[in-house]
Amino acid sequence: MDAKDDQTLSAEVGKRLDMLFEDEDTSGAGAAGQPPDRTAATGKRLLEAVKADILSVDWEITDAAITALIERLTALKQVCASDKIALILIQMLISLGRYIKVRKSKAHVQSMNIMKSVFAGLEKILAQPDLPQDAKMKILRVQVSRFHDFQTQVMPAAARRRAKAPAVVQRTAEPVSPELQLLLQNLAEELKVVIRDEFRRLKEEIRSWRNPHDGYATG
Amino acid sequence: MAFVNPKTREVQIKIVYYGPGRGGKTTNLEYIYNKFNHRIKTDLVSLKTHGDRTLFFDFLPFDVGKILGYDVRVQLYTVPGQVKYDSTRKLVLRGVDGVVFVADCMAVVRRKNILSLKNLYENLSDYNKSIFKIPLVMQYNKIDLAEKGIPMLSPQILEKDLNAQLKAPSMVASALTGLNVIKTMKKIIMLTMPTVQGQLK
Repeated sequence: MDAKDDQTLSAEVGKRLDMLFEDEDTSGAGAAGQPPDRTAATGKRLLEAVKADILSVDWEITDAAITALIERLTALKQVCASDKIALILIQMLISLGRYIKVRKSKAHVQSMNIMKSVFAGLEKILAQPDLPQDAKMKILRVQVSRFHDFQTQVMPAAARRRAKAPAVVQRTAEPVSPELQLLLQNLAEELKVVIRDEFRRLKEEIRSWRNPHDGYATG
Repeated sequence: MAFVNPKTREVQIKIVYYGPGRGGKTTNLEYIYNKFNHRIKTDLVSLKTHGDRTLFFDFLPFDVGKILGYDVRVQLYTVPGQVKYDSTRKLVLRGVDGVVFVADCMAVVRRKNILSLKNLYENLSDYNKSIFKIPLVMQYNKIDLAEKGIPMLSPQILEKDLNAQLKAPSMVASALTGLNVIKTMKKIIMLTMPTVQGQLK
């Protein structure tokens, strides 16, 4: 057996183990002779993985755990590309993840609670595809409001620190500024998405008032 | 050392889940079996006492398939964690290729974890095996209990207590919910691969 075979054996065993123990959603899929919904299964797998990652971060904030969480959320974002509400919640989780990654153990005490709460909302939305749009919007509004409250708790604290000791901040600007910049950048992105979505909804609502029969065949 | 039969072209890899009593070794195997029995198509053999404790060992074999002309078979074993069953633990360790040390994260069992690791060190020494050289994965189990407000040992404390010198790959897990159970198993199997390759040469 040469070096190439060595690699082949290891790689092959790894591949077989992945196939054998791939966590997939077998419930329902194939029961009626239908091909499994791969996107839904992937989404569910990713969601479970994100949950495990959040638990890991809650247990111990390490770079590896946070990076894994952010990468997984980014993958989930692609899977949920067509679901705007899910996308906003995922983006909120990514922002929280980035904030915790920067602040680590100095992150606000509520950080993990907010993260768990946003995830619970996301899980509810993704687990029930038949959930009415109103119910989804209600979940989103609750989570966005909590997220904004959290932001106001976090940001004045940082601003206060900066105001109290301007000289120190100037000299040691790096530990504070990148975090705030990152947070502000993420907040701006999220706010844009939320505002754009709200505008779109309002426009649709106004249009439906003006043209109550819009969309119906008039013969 | 992995069992290699060149005549029948069979390779058997023996993995033992070791650790203090009630630490979750059997739960690891039960999770794997319950979740994937439709794929591995083998049975989990368990010998338990009336009190549902492992009396002798649990045994879960499964085939990985034919690789490079060899049928690769993995055998997962647990040992009874209770102190009194030391001779059984020693027996199960015979011919072991890799060990998963399942430590309990609950603060009350901190000392038991350390004693069990010491016991593993001694029992491996009896087979002229070094705990520093054998493929080893540290699993810090029961992290799900943190949510219930039970006093827990942090991974840092567990690392300091158990893994400061060994420096084995380690991960937190919840055998009950399945968190990192498969990851642990895959990791230990992959760690045994260099030894298996060496034997096939």
